[in-house]
Amino acid sequence: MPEQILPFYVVCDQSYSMTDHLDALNDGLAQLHAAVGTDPVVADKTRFCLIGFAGNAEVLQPLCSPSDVVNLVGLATQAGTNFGAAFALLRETIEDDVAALKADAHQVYRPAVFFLSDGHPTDPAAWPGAYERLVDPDWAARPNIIAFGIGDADAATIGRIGTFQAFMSRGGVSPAAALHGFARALTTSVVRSGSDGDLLLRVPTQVAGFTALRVDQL
Amino acid sequence: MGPLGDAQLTDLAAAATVAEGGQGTVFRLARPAGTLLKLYHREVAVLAGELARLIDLPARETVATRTAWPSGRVFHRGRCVGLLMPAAPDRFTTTIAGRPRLLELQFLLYPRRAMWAELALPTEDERRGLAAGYLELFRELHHHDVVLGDVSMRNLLWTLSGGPGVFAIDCDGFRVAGRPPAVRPADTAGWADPAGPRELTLDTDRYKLALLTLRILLGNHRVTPEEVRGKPLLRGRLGPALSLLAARAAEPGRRPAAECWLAALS
Repeated sequence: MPEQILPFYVVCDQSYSMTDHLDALNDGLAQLHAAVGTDPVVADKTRFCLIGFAGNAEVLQPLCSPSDVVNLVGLATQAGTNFGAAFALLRETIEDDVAALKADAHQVYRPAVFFLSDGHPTDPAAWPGAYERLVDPDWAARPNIIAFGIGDADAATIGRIGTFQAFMSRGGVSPAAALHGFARALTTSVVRSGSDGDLLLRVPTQVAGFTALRVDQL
Repeated sequence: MGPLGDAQLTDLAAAATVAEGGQGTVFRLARPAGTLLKLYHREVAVLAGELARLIDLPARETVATRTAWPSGRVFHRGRCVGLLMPAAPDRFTTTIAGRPRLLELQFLLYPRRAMWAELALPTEDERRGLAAGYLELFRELHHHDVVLGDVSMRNLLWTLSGGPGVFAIDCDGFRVAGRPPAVRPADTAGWADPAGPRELTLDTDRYKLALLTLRILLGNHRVTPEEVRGKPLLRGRLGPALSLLAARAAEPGRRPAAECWLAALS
């Protein structure tokens, strides 16, 4: 039956520097999935996709109704931190997903991307081009991006990537605690956005362990 | 639980976070046992006088076992920032995907999915029993002139343990007809009165009661009285008595009271 759908994409850095934090991140994603997937109203109005990136990017969980998948595929570390690969794959995936949802007669809302990284991009010259294609104002399905930086991530880069909101973990906050805050913010966002009749993206203005960065309004 | 009176936030010890909602965060208190604290988000306007009026309403006694009726106000620096209320009894909780989960109305209104495949859903007879439970709760409240205002698929709980039973949480949007609510409830999408009244009244409650009854009986989260009136297939499933009430529910001012639905169900 045709529905109004808000697609969410979680894009996580799985480079080697994330090794010590991967269990916490996978645990947070599993909690997000359990909370959203067991809420029929939210599950009915949202779709969820998980993308991991390091030297390359891969779709770990193709876009799905969160209540139809019982176990999420976990992240696993690899070499590199290629932001460009993540943004290029996102653009391609969103394009295909939105077309498929529309082909099923669904009304599709602007996708939301939650981007998380703990480091500097290893493709400094290439990623801005892929990013520009992702946020191209002429592309109708360009997503709202909420960016989170933890550990060694560069605040200026994270602030540039977030189009909707951007957060940087505070000094002194452990990556595990920051990831807990990330997962909780993600859950709150999906549940609040999905249970709203107008399907507005609702992201908490404050996230435990993070400082909100200024995002330039266009 | 009887009224606990006013409390200062600084005197309360939260043991765990239970839920985060659009209006506030709910905590389980270390003591008294079984008591929850709802702490409103800063931007939520709370009418402290109306909350006191709600806490003291005689109606609370007749629905005490079926509602998390507010039992006390919570103040911080002279401002009403929250309320105390009893937790739902354990039989309104289950475990889904390894986590404790309240048995919310929404599970009755959507098709079964893989994530809650283990949840025991009611038979048709049990659905009638649950619908009757909600109708009896509305009847009691309406008898005391209490308007529920909003029907949310998260705030009405159900159980089959010990027979069909119902429980309402987040009751701070309830108000005596003609009074403003202590906290303005959300107007849940898909549950609004199409007549678009300026104020929520017993008549708007009766429309929502019709939605609630029809949606539980048909296991459908978006069916409306208007749709039932126009679809012979749905009327066939409901039978003539309930179909007649559905047709009346589509007409503002003629909407059936809870006892009409109860008579048709019995």
